[in-house]
Parts: sequence; C-alpha cells; structure tokens
Amino acid sequence: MTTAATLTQIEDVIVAQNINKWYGDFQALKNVSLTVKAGEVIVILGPSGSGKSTFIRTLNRLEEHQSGDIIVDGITLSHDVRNIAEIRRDVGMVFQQFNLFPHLTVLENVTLAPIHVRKWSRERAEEVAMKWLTRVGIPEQAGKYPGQLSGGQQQRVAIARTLAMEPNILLFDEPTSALDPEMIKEVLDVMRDLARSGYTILAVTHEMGFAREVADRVIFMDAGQIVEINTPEEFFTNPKNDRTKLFLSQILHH
Amino acid sequence: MTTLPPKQTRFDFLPDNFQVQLNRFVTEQITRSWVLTLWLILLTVFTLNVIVNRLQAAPVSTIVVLVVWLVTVALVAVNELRHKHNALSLWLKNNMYNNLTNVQISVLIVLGLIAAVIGFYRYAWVNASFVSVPAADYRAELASVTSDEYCFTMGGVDTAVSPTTIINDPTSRCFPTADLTTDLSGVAVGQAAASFCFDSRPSDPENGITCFASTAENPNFFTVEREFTGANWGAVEANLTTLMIFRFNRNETWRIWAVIILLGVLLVPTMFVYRDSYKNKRGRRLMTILWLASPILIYLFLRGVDPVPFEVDGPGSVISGIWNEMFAWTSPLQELTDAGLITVVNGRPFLRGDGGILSPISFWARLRATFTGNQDLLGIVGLVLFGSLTWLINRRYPPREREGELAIFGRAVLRFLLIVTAVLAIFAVFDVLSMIIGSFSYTRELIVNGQPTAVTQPIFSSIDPDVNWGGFLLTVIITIFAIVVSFPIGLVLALGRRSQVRGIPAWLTYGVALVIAIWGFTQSTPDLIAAARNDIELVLAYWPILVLVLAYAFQRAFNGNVVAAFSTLYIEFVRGVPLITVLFGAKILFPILLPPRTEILDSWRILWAFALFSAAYLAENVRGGLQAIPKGQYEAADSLGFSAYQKYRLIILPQALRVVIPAIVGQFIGLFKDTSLVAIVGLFDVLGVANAIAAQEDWLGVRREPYIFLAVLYFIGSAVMTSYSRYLEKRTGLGER
Repeated sequence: MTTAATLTQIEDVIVAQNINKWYGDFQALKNVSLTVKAGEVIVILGPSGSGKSTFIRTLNRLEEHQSGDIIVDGITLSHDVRNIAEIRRDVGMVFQQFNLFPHLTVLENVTLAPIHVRKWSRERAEEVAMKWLTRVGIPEQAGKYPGQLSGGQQQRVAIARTLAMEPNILLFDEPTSALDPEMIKEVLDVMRDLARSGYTILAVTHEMGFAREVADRVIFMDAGQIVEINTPEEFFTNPKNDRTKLFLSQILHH
Repeated sequence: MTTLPPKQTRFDFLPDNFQVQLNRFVTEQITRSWVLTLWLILLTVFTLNVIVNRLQAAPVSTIVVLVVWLVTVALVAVNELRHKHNALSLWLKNNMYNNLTNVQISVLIVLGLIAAVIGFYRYAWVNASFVSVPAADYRAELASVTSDEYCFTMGGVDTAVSPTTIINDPTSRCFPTADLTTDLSGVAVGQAAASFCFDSRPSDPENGITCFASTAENPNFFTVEREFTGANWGAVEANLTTLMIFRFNRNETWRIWAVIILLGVLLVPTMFVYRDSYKNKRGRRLMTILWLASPILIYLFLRGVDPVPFEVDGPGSVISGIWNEMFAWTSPLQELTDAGLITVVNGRPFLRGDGGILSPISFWARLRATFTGNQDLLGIVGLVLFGSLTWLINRRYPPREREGELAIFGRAVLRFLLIVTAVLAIFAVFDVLSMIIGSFSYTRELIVNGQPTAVTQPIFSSIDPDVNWGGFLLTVIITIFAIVVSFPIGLVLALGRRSQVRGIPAWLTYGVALVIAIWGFTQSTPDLIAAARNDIELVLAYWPILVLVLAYAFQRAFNGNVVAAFSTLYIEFVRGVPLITVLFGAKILFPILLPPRTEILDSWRILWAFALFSAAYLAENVRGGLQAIPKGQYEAADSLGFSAYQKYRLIILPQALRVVIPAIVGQFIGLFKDTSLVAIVGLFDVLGVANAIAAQEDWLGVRREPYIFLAVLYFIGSAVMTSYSRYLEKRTGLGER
C-alpha cells in the first residue's frame, strides 16, 4: 500500500468526530468535529486559549483526547502505540518554538528521523535532506548548529526536517509567532510554496494575509468550539457569527 | 579676562581640595560607624602583631613584603587622590586595596602564604629525612659491633623505637658494649636502638643524625641522637609499594602493569575514534567492542583463574566459578552435589559424566546443573546458529518500515536469543581463553628464603581479592567498578522514576489487596493473636491492615505505576541510608540473608554496595538533567515518529547528560574519596595502609607524611576527573549558544 494509493483511496484524510478534552475541570475542546479532504489547506483562527493548538495536537496524539474519534489516513487513533507511530509517520508538525535538536547539526537534524524511523540509508537520507534544505532556501547552512542560525532560518530547518519524513499531512502550530517581523516573510513564502504543491495542511496562525491567500477553508474557534467554518473570501468579508465579527474587528483595527 | 594657571608648589601632585577629600576619606572609611572604627582598631592591632612576629621569625622576606606593600598602598593612595590611575594601581585598587580592611587583609594573606610556603618547604625538604630503612639498616651494623668503644641509644622494651621519638624518650639509655650480656642480634629484634653512631657511620647531619662525643660524667659513652624536625619521608618511601598495592603478590606485579598498559593502549585511539570528525563507523564500533571486552581481560589479570582440572569428568566451566562467587545463591550447590549430579572442585561445580541418575531433585535444579556445565557450548553454537539465521533472514527479508505482527514478534524473539547467546558466548570465549592460558605455566627465578629458586606457576594464578586487593589498587578498583556499574543502573532508575507507563488499574490493586487482607484477617490474624508473646507480635498480627494501607499509598502516590514506584522507593531508600550503613549491611547483614552454604566474597559485596549506592544518587542527577530538557524536544521527537527508546537515546539523553556532567563528575569524585570507608569493614584501601604504617615498629606514630602523600594522590585523581569533565563539557557543548 503506497502513499499515492492511500491518497486516492481515502478522500477524507482527517476525520475528527465529537472530540472532547479536559484539563482537570477545564474543558479545552467541546465536541469538535472536522473532516479534511486530501490536498485541502485549512487555516484555524481564534483568540488565544480557544483550543486551536490543542485541537491540532490531538491529531497526532501530542495531546490525548478523552472522547470522540480521530481517523487519520484511514488509521483510527487509539492507545495502540503502533497506530500512533503510523499516524505520526504520515503527519508532520511544525512548532512555534522550532524545537530543533540543539546538539545536532542542521543536516543531522533533518536526516535523523528518516534514518532511524524510515530506516533509510544515510546516503539516501542526506540526499533527500539536501533537497528539502535547498527547497527552503538554506542548503549552505547544513553543517551549522541550530544555535548559529537566525529564527527564520531555524524555522525553515524545522520545516525541512518535517518534510524529509515525506508526510502527507502538515500541521503548523503558530509557526511565525516567535519570529521577528522581517523573518516572518521568509517562512510564509515557504509555507505558501508548500500549500500550492498539494500537501494537506492544517495551520494555526495569526497571518491573515496567508489565510486569505492560500486557505481553502478558514475555521474560527472560540472557547473550545468551532464557531464558524467558511471560505476565506466569505470569512473575511462577510462573517456569519457575531464572535467572528468581533474577533475580526479587533485584529483588523487595532 | 584670562584665567591664570594655578600656582606651582612643592605639593603639586596633591589636588586643590585635598583637605576636603581627606575629611571625606576619614568619614567614609573610618568613622562611618563605631562598629567599623572598633573593627579597624582590632584589625590594626592584629596586623601589627603579626608583622612583629614575622619580622622576628623571617626578617628578610617580611621586610621585602612590607616594603612592596607600603609602596603599592602609597601608589594607590596618591593616584586615587589625583583621580588618575594607571593599569597597575587600578587593578590594585579594585582587587586588593578597596578599603582599609582589605589593605590590611592583603598584607596578612601575603605574609601568611609566605610563612606557610616557607614552613612547608623547611618541613618537607630542608629538615626532612629521606632515609627509608633506618632501624633495620642500623640494626645490621649493630650486630657487627664488637669494640667496647661504642655505645648506642636504646629504646625500652615497651617503648617501640622510631627515629622521631627516640631523642625525647626518657627510657633511652646508653650502654657500654661490654655491659651487653645478651646477643646483639637478639637485642636488635623488637627492642633495639633505632639509631646509633660509630666509625663506619659518622655524623650525618643532613639526615638528622648527630653523634656526640663522650662527656665528663660519662667518659666512656657516646650519646647518639637522631635529630630532625622535618618530615620523615622514609616512611612513605619504604612503604610505597605497600601503599599502592598492599598485599598483592610482589612476584605478580607485572599483571597490574599489564592492566595499566592495556588501558593506556585502549585510551589512545579512543581519544580520536569518538570524535565527531571521525567518520569511520566500523572503527568506532570496534573500539566499543574492545572497551566492552576489556573488563574480562582486567578480571583475568587482577583476579586470575585456577588451571582447569581436566581430570574431572564432564566439561568444566570457568564461568561457573564466577557464578559461584557472585551469584552462588542461584545454584543450590549442595543439593546438586548430594544428588550426585555434580562434583565440586575448588568451589566450582562440574557436571558429572554419569549425571543421569534419577533423583528427587527438582527439574529446575537439574536444568541448572546441565546448564552450568554446557553453557559454553550453548553460547557458541547458539551464537553461530542465531547469528547466521538473523543474517540470512535480514538478507532475504530486510527490515521494513511497516511490518506485520508476526514479523515484529519473530525479529524480537530472534534478537533476544541472539543477545542471550552472545552474552554466553562472551563467557565461553573467556572460558576457552582462560582454559588455554591456565594450562600454560611459567618458570621464573625467585628469591625464596634468601635462596634463588626456580618456581613454576600457572600464568594468571588465582588471586584472592579479599586478601590481596588493597592500597591504592583497591581504591581504584572500587571507584572504576562503581562508576561503570552505577551508570547504567542510575540511568534506568532515573528514566523509571519519570516513566509514564500505564499503571495497574485501581480496582485491580484494591481488589488483590482486599482479597489478601480478608484472607489474612480470617486465616492468619487469629492464629497470630493467639500465639503472640508480646505487644509487638500482637500488633504485627494485624498485618492485613498494612497491606491495605500500602495498596492505598501505591495507588495515591504512583497511580499504580509499578516502574515509577520501584525506582522512587529504591532511590529514596538508598539516599536515606548512610554509605557506612550500606557497607555494614553488605559486609555483615547480607551473608546472614543468604541461603546456607553459599558464599560471596567480601570484595564483591563491597563493590556492589558502592555501585548500588552510587546508582541512586546518579539517578537523581540524571533526573535533574532530564527535567532541564524543554518539553518541545520531547514533542518534536514524538511528532517525527521516534519510538520511546530512540527518543531517549538520540535526542533526550545526549542533551540531558551533557547538562549534568559537572554534577555527575562531582559525585564520582566524592565516590573516589568515599572509598576510604572500606577500612571500617575490614578491607585495606590506601588510607587503611597509611594508618597501618604508623603502627609499624620502624615508623611508629608517623602519620603526617603518609597523609600528605595521600592528599597528593587524591588530588591528582580528582584533578584528572575534573579536567576530563571539563574536556567533555567543551566537546559536547558544540553548537550550544
């Protein structure tokens, strides 16, 4: 069963049904349901604490949900470690804080997972790694350590590291929030490029321009619930929900 | 209108507002508070006192120091007033002469240092004696004295003689040789003079030996005095070998040198092979294998093996010898011997050739007996079989990313078998090696009873650690063993304590506890109450309550996580017990708990006690490192699909261990010095030997010199570890911000 076959067979690559999650007494997710089709680009917006990050982190089991079903690439997420491992191989994630491995060089950061998880040979892994480093525009930094790079470069390495595992689905968890304004662009350029090349993408971000430009659907979350799902055009010009309107007025006129 | 330049005076280096500045200086530095004033007065009196004393004791150096001190203080003072410092005066001002207190403390420290250095130099060099065999040496000459012109100083029978004490010994007397009724050689043993003086050995003031001519009151006598006030390095020199290796057979010292050379030879390539720039994976792997194999060789050298007695029936096995020593409690020797299944030779079980007797012995005991006899064969055959099988399977069906249940299970089983047989095969190689080596003997010329004699003995003859390991050798063996063994154990404990393993569900814990408690209350408690002889036994009869309490505690504190519970309890228990108690436990308590007729060497028990004790502390250090790793690293590793094992091995531990290198090395240095505690449980480490020197007849009461030597030895050991840790930090710190 190859990846291509998976893509054609399974239209809905992510199916989340009635996800509930509690932190103690606080309910972080309330009956969240979402179906994502292959190749779709979805941007999740919402005020802080609305559960957007928590939601995408439940999809690859960085957070455990208490009830509801999650099916990724046809695999049902359960306590079975092997199911979780399979899903994680297919789902790449990019973090707000980059989370590069500081004790390894950029090249080692990118090749580590392909070699040990995908069981590729070092030569093949390095070839693929250089391909992705070139694609994100920093092949010349391969020998350096993460601490020697700028924030934007680090985030691009993190993206290359994720892509080197050849995932079908990409999760972006506020990838530009920890960056200086002039570095945001270089990361967004990479993300735009990826969005156009057929990946299924779920991105939590505050970059409205990015959402408007590349998103197929925009999701607005508040207090652990999905409040509105809409096309970007409709969402920004003609929001249906009052909470959405308030949010948009606040971020657009601050 | 132009301003005139200030008028030139003789005191032009002083500022115009000198009076104001002086007043401010006095207020700030002296009269700010009465406590300060009082303190300065006291300090000044003390300083003057010290200066006067030092002027008397060592005028030249003191005057030099005082002159330099006064000049520099004056320089700083003047420059301060001029608000114009140069590099020297600025440094002095910032570091030595900030205020009046520091001005005085500076000179006190310098004078103190000079006094200490000169004092130690006089003690350790100028006034020191370097004669290493005084008493015996002089005694030999004493035995040859025949002339009545000589006499000697003699210690009383009860006061043993040492070169440092004899001069003040009131029992020392001088005898004319004619008065000696006893045989001189007889006198020499145990009670004779430590030193005396005659023609053939004239005054030797450099070594503190002075001969006095006869006096008017005693015209026929010389008094002989051995007088020196400095160190008596002879005590260290004479006992150097003993300090280092204690009772290790002097004819076998080449084995210690061989170990040192082996480690040196391994160390040199290690320094290059494990560098990041070294890309040859195979070389690195070979080096690792060599290091892993080195303990076997070191064991062979330092412990030795008996030659294998080929005459006993059945294949002998050296590994069973080790088993017998370290894990004797796992094989009920006597049971097997009684059943006629094995023969015990030199404490080692040998399978008997006609072992097929039907006896009431248990299946497991038979299996064990067969196993101990044939494990070498099992190891080698198994390794070849499973090794080639693994190779064939991997070639035909290379590991893939996604595999079925059966493939995963099969590979796991094969890997397990391979590891087990590989371990057995290592021992088998060890057995074969020692069998071959043990069958060789060598002949060398040794001095036996003063006569050169040809002695034939096996290479690697057995050495009893309890008797022959001692001195610095034992210190080093304990330290290295404890470090090497405690490291993996500590690592596992640290990971275990933080483990998030899904725990035993509460209903199961409580259910089992309840069943036990109910059974206990109905079946056991009534009997125990009836049989109780005192209140303690009466209370103990209610043990089922304890079971319930423990079950509750287990669930509340650990959520049923057995791994975390075990690790935490182990760590906290060991950390709650002093090392000395652990050592006493290993030495005295543990043998009581062993089944009868089983014995483990003292040395093994003490070594393991150190290792297990150290592991608990190491676990806490490592845990500190694990907690220092940001959560994002774990998440990044998880999201990339690493397994838990890969996550820790490749990402978390390399970072966590780097953080705790200083703490771990600190702990190991502490361990290095804690080894002295073994003296209390009857082993002689280097400190034990040093104490024993002071009890020797020749060196009675000489403690200071061996202790100084020990201090240097420990300092070198600690410094080596410290500098290695710094090197490691630097090397692994690559790429850190």
